[in-house]
Amino acid sequence: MSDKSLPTFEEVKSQIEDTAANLDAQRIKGMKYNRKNRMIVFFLAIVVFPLSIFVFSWDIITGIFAVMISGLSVLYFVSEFDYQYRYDVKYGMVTAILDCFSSELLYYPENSMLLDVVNRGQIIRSWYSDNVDGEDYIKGYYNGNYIQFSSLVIKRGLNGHNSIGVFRGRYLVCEFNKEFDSHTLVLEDSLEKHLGFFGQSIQDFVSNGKLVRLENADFERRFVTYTTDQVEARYILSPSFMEKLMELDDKYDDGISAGFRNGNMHLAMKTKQPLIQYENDYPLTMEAIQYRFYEPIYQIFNLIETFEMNQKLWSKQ
Amino acid sequence: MVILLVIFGIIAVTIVFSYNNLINKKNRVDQAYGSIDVMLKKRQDLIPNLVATVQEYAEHEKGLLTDVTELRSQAIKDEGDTAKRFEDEAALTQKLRTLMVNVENYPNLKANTNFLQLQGTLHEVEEQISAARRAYNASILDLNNAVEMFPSNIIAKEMKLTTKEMFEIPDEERQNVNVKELFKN
Repeated sequence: MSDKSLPTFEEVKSQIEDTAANLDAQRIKGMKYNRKNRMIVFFLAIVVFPLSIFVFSWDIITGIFAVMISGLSVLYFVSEFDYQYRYDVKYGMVTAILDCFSSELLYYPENSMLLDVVNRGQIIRSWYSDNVDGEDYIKGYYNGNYIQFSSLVIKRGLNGHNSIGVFRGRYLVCEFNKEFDSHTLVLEDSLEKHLGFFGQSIQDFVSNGKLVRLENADFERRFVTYTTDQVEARYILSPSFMEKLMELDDKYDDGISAGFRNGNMHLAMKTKQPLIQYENDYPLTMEAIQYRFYEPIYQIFNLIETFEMNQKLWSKQ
Repeated sequence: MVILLVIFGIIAVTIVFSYNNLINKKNRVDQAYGSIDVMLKKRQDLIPNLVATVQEYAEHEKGLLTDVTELRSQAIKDEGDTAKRFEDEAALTQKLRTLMVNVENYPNLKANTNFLQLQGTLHEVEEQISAARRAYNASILDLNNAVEMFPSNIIAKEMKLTTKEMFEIPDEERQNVNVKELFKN
């Protein structure tokens, strides 16, 4: 995979050291603050409660109630601090690292891509869905190419109890490096996987000429391709491009799908893991930053480099 | 009686389905061939501009440029004869490839914006020609399968439909490219 233009961690390290140091100092301060608050709750339970019963003659129920209210108030402040700190770390580290890739990228830790954007690709059956959630939304320009990325959870049904999961994973939208007017979908081939030749025949029958049969047998086994233009589909899905899609499919156990429409590529990668995973207990060492922040972000841009989305071909200029 | 009617019905549906399917596949082959035609014309339209740009900088390539121009004219003349036309276009592809390698010897030409744009466009057109050929071969495969497989082969025989040849690259192009030889030329 091509990664020559991507900054290495060593190059990124020098840019983020100060930010990491400040955030880690904040973490240590927060730990002391939380320890203090937990001591207060302990004190309330062990000292104030018996005192209130024996000294102030409160009944037990009132005493328990008083301790609970005080304890919950303290714990609320603790969780608020934890939440704010986690947000600050994610935002601070990710924006500092993104800046090393491109200064024109924005990061929203708690937002996701809009459902409308996802619906344009038509690779997830999201047009029946009305509930989209997610995080780690990145958008902006990378080497002149407009990209959008986020972790997504799409469900159907407004009521949380009755909702059906439609998609959980990562979603990338970027400008494609070739000019095309058609709409091509590369989807997981569950029909052929389960029904073999009969599955293939059913696909052929129902597709009404939109099914694309490609030369790569392994690609055909994994994916089913539909298009509104047979020639443009093959123009997009060159033999080398098919190889890259299969390499990406190997990395995601739950599979990937791709859509090409309106000059853009939509890529859906199913996974249950969020992009950035960070817990407040972990010190912000360089190893932790590399593993939890740099590597996931590097994967996104390595993907764009691998598919050469940043190389605008002459037909697109 | 009912059973006979059902059997007759099934046979009739199969005949109609097979007939329509064969017509569908035959038309797709024609459509795919038309796409190759469009892409080849696109390339033909680029050539005069390319030759004029290269001529300004690369006097030593006069012979090669003349060959390219002549092959282009020949391909236009042979439009009615598929086999001959594909032969001419294959020869033209070879000449253009050689030309693109030879222009590496002319740094002033390589720096020319117009030439770079033409070169890029030519590369994309070649990719599109390749895609059109792949689509053509896929449609030929579908048609050949329908013509040869039971029960549509019976209908195909009555319709006098035969298998068609896929687009194949000439033998010279199957050989490994000798880069040193390319630069010598």
